[in-house]
Amino acid sequence: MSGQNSWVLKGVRPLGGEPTTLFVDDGVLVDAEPSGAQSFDADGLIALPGLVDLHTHLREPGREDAETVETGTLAAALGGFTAVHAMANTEPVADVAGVVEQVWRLGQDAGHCDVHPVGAVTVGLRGEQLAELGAMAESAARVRVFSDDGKCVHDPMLMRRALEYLRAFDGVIAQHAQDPRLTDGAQMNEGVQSARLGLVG
Amino acid sequence: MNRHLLSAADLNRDDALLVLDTAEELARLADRPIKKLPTLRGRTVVNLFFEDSTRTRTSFELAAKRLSADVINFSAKGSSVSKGESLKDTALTLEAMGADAVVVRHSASGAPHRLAHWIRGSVVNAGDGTHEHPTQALLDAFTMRQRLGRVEGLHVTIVGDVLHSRVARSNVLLLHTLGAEVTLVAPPTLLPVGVDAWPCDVSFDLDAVVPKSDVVMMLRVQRERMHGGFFPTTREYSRRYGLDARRMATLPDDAIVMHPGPMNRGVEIAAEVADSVRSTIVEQVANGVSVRMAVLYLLLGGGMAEAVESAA
Ligand SMILES: [Zn+2]
Repeated sequence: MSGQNSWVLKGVRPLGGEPTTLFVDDGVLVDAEPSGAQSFDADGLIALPGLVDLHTHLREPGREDAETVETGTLAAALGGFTAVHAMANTEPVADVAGVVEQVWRLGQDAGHCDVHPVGAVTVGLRGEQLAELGAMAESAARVRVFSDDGKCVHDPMLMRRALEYLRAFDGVIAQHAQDPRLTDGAQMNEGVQSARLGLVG
Repeated sequence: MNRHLLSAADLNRDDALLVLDTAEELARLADRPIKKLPTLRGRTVVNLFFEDSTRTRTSFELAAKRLSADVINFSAKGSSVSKGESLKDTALTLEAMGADAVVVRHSASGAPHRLAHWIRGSVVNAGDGTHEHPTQALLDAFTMRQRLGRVEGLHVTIVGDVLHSRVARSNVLLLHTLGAEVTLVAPPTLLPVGVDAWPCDVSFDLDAVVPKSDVVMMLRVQRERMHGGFFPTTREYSRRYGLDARRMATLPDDAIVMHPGPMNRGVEIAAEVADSVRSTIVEQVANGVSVRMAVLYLLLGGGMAEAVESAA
């Protein structure tokens, strides 16, 4: 097997290692030079594993004017990312199996990198009632990361329930380390600069 | 046997088997035209119910009456209890009435235990808060033995709101005593912290456990729990933790399905499962009377031989 995606990378340094030659056969690292591989002088360049972005906004569905799964994942792939997590604040919110499956399928169809939809923790990101976390976990999207992102889950009891509930399928919650009562109208870190600029800390 | 039945843990293996054997003898009575025994004539049994439960109260009442005991139903509603009389005052009143046994249902965990310190008669816990309901566990074990011939070695799966369930707590204790292997299945939110120390296994995956179960016991899940954030929706609860026909089809051939009632059809149990031949729900009600007769009989001083003789 050889093709457009078969390479001999000369002089490349795997992160933290010495310069070496790497062989890529149709996108996969191999031990020996594949036939028909193109040669690339990678002197001074660093080889990294595929990067994973845990926090992206692909905006689809609902805000395709700002970004789509296609454009977002293309940018990600060009930047070395092989997987991105897409936050749930779409329109409609990714709080049911149908929406996360849609986003996941769009990622598959685009084909640039893996798209892992992040499920909302609460219905509509409103922080009042748990979303169907189990249904999202069992959907084709196999959601394991849940977050209300900028909205934050600020009810401590609801957060406790959510964290416990996720144990059934090894899910995790990503949470901004902030409390909405303490960040009401906040614009910047509170300190000497916020005092000087007259901005709310 | 101890003087009281407050917890399923009060029964050692011999005690539990004695109750089940006695209940079996007494159950034969139900097939006779005259169902009454003179055994507890002149003894007074008080049903002290601070929580409404017509089913359980009626079951105890029928059990006591079949043994010819005098039965007083002391319901909290309309009594001095609702006018602020304390549990202790109530206990002293019952003591003065000469109650030989007090069957108590209370919304507070531990109430029967308190009561037992204040009266000379026997106290039977008929369900206290989210603590225990030992006679339910006994009638469940009785039903398993009736259907499957044994309790020892059975794989019993208890599914649902374990956190708030007195039925689950009593069943875990009693079934362990009787040598069954219990697995609890629930969303992690509906399992108590500390469940790891109980003599049972825990799983979150009902589909994995059902095919290995001889008995599946479905617990009632209250819709209010959804508003407490314990699970997202009743739809998701049913899908993940409910027993429907598809899951029931994966049970071994002889396996049975139990429910302490009252059921939420379509939530924890599908109607076609509740009404299937595997379901023991109606038998459980009938067996409740026999088991409660046995408990009252044994607590109030009857010996096994005498019980068998009078039932013969
Ligand atoms: Zn964000």
